[in-house]
Amino acid sequence: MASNYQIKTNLSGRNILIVEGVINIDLTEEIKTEDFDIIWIMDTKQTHAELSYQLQLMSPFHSLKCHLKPRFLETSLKNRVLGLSTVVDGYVDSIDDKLLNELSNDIYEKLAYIETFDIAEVTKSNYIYFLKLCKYAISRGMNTFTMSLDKAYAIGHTALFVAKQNNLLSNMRAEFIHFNHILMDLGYAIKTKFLERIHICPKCKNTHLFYMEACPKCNSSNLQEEPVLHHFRCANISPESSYLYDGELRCPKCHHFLRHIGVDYDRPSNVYTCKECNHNFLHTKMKVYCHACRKSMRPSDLIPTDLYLYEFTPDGILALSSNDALVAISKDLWAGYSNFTSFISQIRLFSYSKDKNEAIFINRFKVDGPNVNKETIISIVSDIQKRYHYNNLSYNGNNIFMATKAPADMSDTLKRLMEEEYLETMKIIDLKYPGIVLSEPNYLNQNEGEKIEAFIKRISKDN
Amino acid sequence: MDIIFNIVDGIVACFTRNLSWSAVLHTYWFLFFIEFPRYYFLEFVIAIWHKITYRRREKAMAVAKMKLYIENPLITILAPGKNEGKHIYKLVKSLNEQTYRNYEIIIVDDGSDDATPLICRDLEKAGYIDLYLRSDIRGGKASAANFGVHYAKGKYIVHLDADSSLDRDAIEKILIPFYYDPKIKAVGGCVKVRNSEESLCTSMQALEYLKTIQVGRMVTNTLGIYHIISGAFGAFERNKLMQIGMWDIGPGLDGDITQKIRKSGDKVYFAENAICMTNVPTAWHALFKQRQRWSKSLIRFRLRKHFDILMPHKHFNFLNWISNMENLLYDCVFNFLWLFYMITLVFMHTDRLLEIFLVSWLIRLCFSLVAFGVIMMVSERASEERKLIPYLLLSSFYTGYFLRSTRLLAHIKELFFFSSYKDPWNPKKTSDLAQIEGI
Repeated sequence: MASNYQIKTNLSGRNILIVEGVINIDLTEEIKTEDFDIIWIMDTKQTHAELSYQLQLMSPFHSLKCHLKPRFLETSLKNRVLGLSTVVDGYVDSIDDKLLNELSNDIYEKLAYIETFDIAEVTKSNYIYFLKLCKYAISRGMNTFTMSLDKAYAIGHTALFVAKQNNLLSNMRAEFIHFNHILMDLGYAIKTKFLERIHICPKCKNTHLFYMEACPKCNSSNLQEEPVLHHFRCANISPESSYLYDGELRCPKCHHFLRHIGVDYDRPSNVYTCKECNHNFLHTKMKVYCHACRKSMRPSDLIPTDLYLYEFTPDGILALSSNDALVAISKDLWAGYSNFTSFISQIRLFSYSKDKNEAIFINRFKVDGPNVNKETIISIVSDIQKRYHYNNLSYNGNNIFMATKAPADMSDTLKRLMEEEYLETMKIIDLKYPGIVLSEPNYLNQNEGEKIEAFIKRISKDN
Repeated sequence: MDIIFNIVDGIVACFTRNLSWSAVLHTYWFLFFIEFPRYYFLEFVIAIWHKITYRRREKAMAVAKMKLYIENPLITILAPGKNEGKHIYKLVKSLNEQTYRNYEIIIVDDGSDDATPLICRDLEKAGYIDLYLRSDIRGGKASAANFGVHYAKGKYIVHLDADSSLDRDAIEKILIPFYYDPKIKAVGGCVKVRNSEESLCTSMQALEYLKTIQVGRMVTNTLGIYHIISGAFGAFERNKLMQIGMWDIGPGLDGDITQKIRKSGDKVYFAENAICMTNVPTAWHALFKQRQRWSKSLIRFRLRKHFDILMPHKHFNFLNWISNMENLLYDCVFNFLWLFYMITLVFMHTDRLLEIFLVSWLIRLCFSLVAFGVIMMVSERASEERKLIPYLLLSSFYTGYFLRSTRLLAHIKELFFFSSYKDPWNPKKTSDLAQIEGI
């Protein structure tokens, strides 16, 4: 079978992965990350769907091998890219094109300062994905972000770098807005300029609003607007329809023909008639209907909200280029229950921290008894969570894990506290779940020089 | 001092030596034979008759009132005007006090260039007025009123000036006559002066309005020759209004529409107890201009447009003939006669003019006292209006000379120069066409 790709070295010495058909680079074992520096998709008469699929397969946010590498398309594909143009760095006709070299050099200059993730998923949230977006933006020199209108968002617009990425899944959007707020709180991004003041629904904060002209009396929008005509000669004023006569305008009062506007007649006003309640009026009332919560309201009820231009701060660029941002952001995600995979991810993530004065202490104990099942375990975890909400809590099989972060030199104090927590937990179990016993607690912490994967292995090992 | 003594001697001489009764009548024939029978004697007699028939009329009116409230029709209160925004709130507040409640308020803005649109839109939003209509291009009062009528939903239309305010039972009182006699298709209200204490000019007008509107129209109404429904406060049956083509181009459109209703064979009625208060001009020159405009309409409408009323034809109506003839004679022809009278007086009694005029003032004062007595008989707020008595001393100059000469001048202008068509009260585009069409 003919191969869908080839790797060539251009005159500047860069290895170019030339994509000639649909190919999943990550799954193609023959292609190694270090084998290519730049990706160039050739025009092989592929359809828009094929091209889109290919771009998604090599997305900077999903593909490990391609990640932040520069990617170019053949110029003739420009009109077929449409919505995915944001992940294309340029359009060139050959691998030796000057533009390709210039842009690639520029990107590689920036990439020199950007740490990449070497694991696919490390947190229980999508924040890693968002951080990839940030990294991509920084690698492309996009440090300033304006809002852009996006119907997918309740608030109707995007902020920060999401402006460039509007293909987020719906469940990720709310999280993304939260992520943006975290960036602001951490000082990684700042508002630099006021852009617009928009109005949002007071009930659901949605901007998907219909503005409608309505009858001031019955609120219906079934309206008819009609000009009124003033016949100078007899001072008659009535709607235009009353003047229509055999294709001509004829005064209903004096029956004279109206021939010349400004001489015989004029149109001094327009009058609305409500077809529901027959009310006449000059000025319609504006009503606003919220598409999301189906509430009808007056424009004055809407809440004004300001939109700004955002920019990454130098600190933000530095933090987002390295993995410090991930650590800082994930602090927010520490406390509370998470499933075991996420729990482990949190532990792993912690190892990215450059703050070596802080350590993780884990208390692991086993639940035993004649009728122990998954529901019992969940119920016990829930009770512990209510009492010790500041811990990171999880379970795996019959094992329950309580993780706490604390200064490394506090291990003894922490151990004592964790013992107290354990004894307290035992009391609850005795009272609420007769017949259930807890095993002796197992206090774990990462030893000096111990690798994180080894520590994780130790945690996961069933005792 | 000698001059004063001479004058007193002259007056005394008038009544003692030089003038017999026949001589007095001969000298003041205009006062005794023209003014007195119509403005004093007739009014006195009719007022007495009005008093005598009061109980019978009130009984019939009580039945009519009951009928009105049983039907309780929706009525439209229509106030067309230009730059009247500042008066609208006061107007709607006074309407809120009305005993008759089933009404809609339509304000028609005839191309105002002040804050009227803002005020009216606010009032409409707040629910004080039901409909605010606006012509962006000024079309004149008649077109503004017609605009409102077209969108009116009421069975009766009460036409108001925006600067008027009403007694709290005025709407009820103006509607009752429609149920008193089904042939009545239009009712005029009684207009009084609100700013009577503002200046001498307004006080004189207050006195004049009492005499000519409250009493004068009561008299013409009783005689069946009532010929002008005041633009400031009048009620019309909506269907009738549409049938006669509503208002035509003014000035003087209120008299014109009354003529049109009378000509169509229906009755008009004056409700002397439906009281509307309005502000009148405070300065003499403004009053002069206003009266010139009013007076010109007499020639334009009664003498020209509705001249057919005076001629025999198949729809000839004797009361209409009398009504117009009386109006033309007393308000127009006798003015010219008065001019002739004044000239003869001046030439015949050049040597003792001062005495002549003083005596004439004295006679008029006596007449005015009689007239004021009639006002006190008719007026619903006689005790308050009694304070106008001192102004009777000046009424001879006001009605006898000022108003008469103003009217005379206006009639001459209109008769020979058609000056009403040049009045800026109406937009030029409409006046030009009205002149071409002779309406």
